[in-house]
Amino acid sequence: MTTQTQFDVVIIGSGAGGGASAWALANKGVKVLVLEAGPHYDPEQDYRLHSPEWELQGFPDKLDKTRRYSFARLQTLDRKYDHLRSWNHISGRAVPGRVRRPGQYSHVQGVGGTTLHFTGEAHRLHPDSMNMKSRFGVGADWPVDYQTLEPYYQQVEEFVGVAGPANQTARVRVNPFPQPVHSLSYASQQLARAGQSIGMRWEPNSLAVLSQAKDTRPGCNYCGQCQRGCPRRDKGSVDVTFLPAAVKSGHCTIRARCQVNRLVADDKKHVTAVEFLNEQGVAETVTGKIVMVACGAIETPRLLLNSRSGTIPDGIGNESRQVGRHFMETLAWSSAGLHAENLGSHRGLPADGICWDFNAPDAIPGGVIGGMRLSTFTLENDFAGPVNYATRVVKGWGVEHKRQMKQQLGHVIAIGAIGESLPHKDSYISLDRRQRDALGRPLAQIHSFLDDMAVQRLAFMAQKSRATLKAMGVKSLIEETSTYDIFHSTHVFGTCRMGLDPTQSVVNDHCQHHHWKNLYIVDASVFPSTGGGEAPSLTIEALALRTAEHIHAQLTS
Amino acid sequence: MPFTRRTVLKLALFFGAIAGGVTLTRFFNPQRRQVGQTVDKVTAFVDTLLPAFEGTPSASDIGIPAIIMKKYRRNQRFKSMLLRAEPWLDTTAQQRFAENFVDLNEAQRNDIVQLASQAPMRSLPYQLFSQLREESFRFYYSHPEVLTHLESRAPQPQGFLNHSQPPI
Ligand SMILES: Cc1cc2nc3c(=O)[nH]c(=O)nc-3n(C[C@H](O)[C@H](O)[C@H](O)COP(=O)(O)OP(=O)(O)OC[C@H]3O[C@@H](n4cnc5c(N)ncnc54)[C@H](O)[C@@H]3O)c2cc1C
Ligand code: SF4
Repeated sequence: MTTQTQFDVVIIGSGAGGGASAWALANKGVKVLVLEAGPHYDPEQDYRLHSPEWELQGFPDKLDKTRRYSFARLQTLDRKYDHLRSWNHISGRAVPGRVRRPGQYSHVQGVGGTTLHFTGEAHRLHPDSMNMKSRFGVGADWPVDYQTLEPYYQQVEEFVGVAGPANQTARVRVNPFPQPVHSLSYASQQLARAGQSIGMRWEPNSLAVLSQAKDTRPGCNYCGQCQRGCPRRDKGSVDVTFLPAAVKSGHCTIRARCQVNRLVADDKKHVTAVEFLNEQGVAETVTGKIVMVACGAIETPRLLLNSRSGTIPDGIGNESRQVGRHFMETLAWSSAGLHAENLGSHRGLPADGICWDFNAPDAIPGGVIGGMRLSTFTLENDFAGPVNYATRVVKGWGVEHKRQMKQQLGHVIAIGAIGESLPHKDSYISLDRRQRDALGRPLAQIHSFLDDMAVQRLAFMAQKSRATLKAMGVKSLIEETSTYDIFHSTHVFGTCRMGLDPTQSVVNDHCQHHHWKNLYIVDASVFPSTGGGEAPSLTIEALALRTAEHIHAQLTS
Repeated sequence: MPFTRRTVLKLALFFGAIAGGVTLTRFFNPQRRQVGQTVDKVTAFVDTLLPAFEGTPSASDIGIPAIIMKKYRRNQRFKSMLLRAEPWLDTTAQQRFAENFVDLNEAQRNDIVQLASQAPMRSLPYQLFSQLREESFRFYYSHPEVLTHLESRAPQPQGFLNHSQPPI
């Protein structure tokens, strides 16, 4: 095993949290090493949106990520919620049985992390959702407030190039969005109008997608395929924003295909080294004055829990036994139907329109705590081209199927909703006692439970989605997807909670471990609450910039 | 199936794909013949799902059977499903029309496909129908010739700069 020269900071993971931290530190002259398990992606080569076969593949994963986590048995489905199950009018119910199906923790291993695959929604948290414990008696409060985060939000928005409307519901801004708002697609305009006709306010979404050229990146050309990876680099994923700038500073080294297996510690609660398998599969150790973990809210607790030893039997940083607890997932719903008019709904930005009316934690009527938001979802749900129409939309086969294909292309319209996920004692990440990865390390095991309050929130999301499509004149629905009967998470949170009380949280308000002073966590693991459906990357990045400032001050003091 | 020139060509194409260029004479051994029969049925089935129509190609015109048989060789689960389900086609065709599936006319084949599509979801006939439908539609609707007929194109490099206007 070789040991590398010391870096000021070793960052594990190069996604939203790791990438933003790397830039913020390297830009200040701090010597940074980023270790990333996944490979580099080349937008022009890897994202095949020019090929006629573009629709056959989703995001082009290069590593098998399924061998990193497993599921504990999920809950039994209640008949009274059968109206919330996933179905398609051709293939029927997605889950024929009565047990919730383990689907996916959807993420990417690569330089840039899951932002390579993300849609680019760039949301500030609703300020009220940061005080869930003190205001509503559930979950936990954030130890920082919206005002404290505001300048960091602004900094990220300017650096990445976020486009958004002049006034965004409930978010007080000091400065306007740095990029002009994107116009809604024709299909989204019709959906927004329908929403307005039943009393909902729809507005253009704020997106980390350029509406105008910025530096060497061009403006978006509205191809609608952000989740397959943007070949033009106008989507503000970390690989085309923070990471190249970090490297350009001359103070940041990125090593791809380097899988960190363990943190090494002394008995004074100090992380002394990071052990990893390098690009050639050879074991290496590296040291840093500070170690930042940014592996995402499932892999981060896994790494800490797997870093156990004789003197640290529960894993590094787990003396309060909070690591892995308070896991919060993605509570999501979508409804899709056929519109009589050809909307050309394969065009435009996915999630270009949004309704924030029910986003505040107390906005859903009937005593449901926790908010939700609705957005345009046709392209997020991949109703984007002939393959999806042929297999999911147009029934039958033969001559009539061919005729209908020609008639129905462009007619699908879908709406989606994401809601608050609150901590529950039965939702957590542990180490799998039986299953291990190729290197012999226990997998992360996902435990998830949706309680009645979560299901009621989901029911409200379904009701509003269906009502909006009905107001648009959609007569028949063709597909609905729900996380009630399938666990499927794109946003994960909470497993190394941030807080002021060391017995109830893992890190402090600067994302520094309460006891392990050279250990920081900078991903959505630290979120005490999820917000009412806000996309998390902007907040992860804003927190990372604030943490980097703190670390820089520590290193220079 | 009448052994037309076109069928021979399709089989030659298929064997080129599976055996890296073996000659057609090797087809005349029992194992090959069995695979050949599977190809015939798959071809007839996917051509029923995707017939030539108003200038659009049929599934076999653009090589879909060869793609499906490639999956057959590579994916054990798919192969096992196909081998177990395929006799149902002839049995049912014989019961209803006193002929094998590949010898039926288009209307009769449609009848058999209809039966498969209405079978219980976990049954072999339904699995055969839904998996062949899924596979053939995926490859058919990503073929350049078909996209041209549908006036559909890849999202890049043009994108959709007219996205906020009604479609033309
Ligand atoms: C389809 C989809 C759409 C989304 N859309 C949006 C959106 O519109 N807006 C938004 O804000 N968010 C969106 N998200 C979520 C967003 O991408 C994530 O929340 C965000 O990327 C999380 O950042 P992170 O830094 O915590 O983790 P990630 O971005 O997942 O990065 C973690 C990185 O750490 C690496 N890693 C893990 N373990 C190790 C290890 N042991 N050693 C070395 N490296 C390791 C991983 O390979 C990965 O690259 C979406 C997600 C998906 C899947
Ligand atoms: S819609 Fe815009 S941001 Fe998304 S992939 Fe296409 S060009 Fe890139």
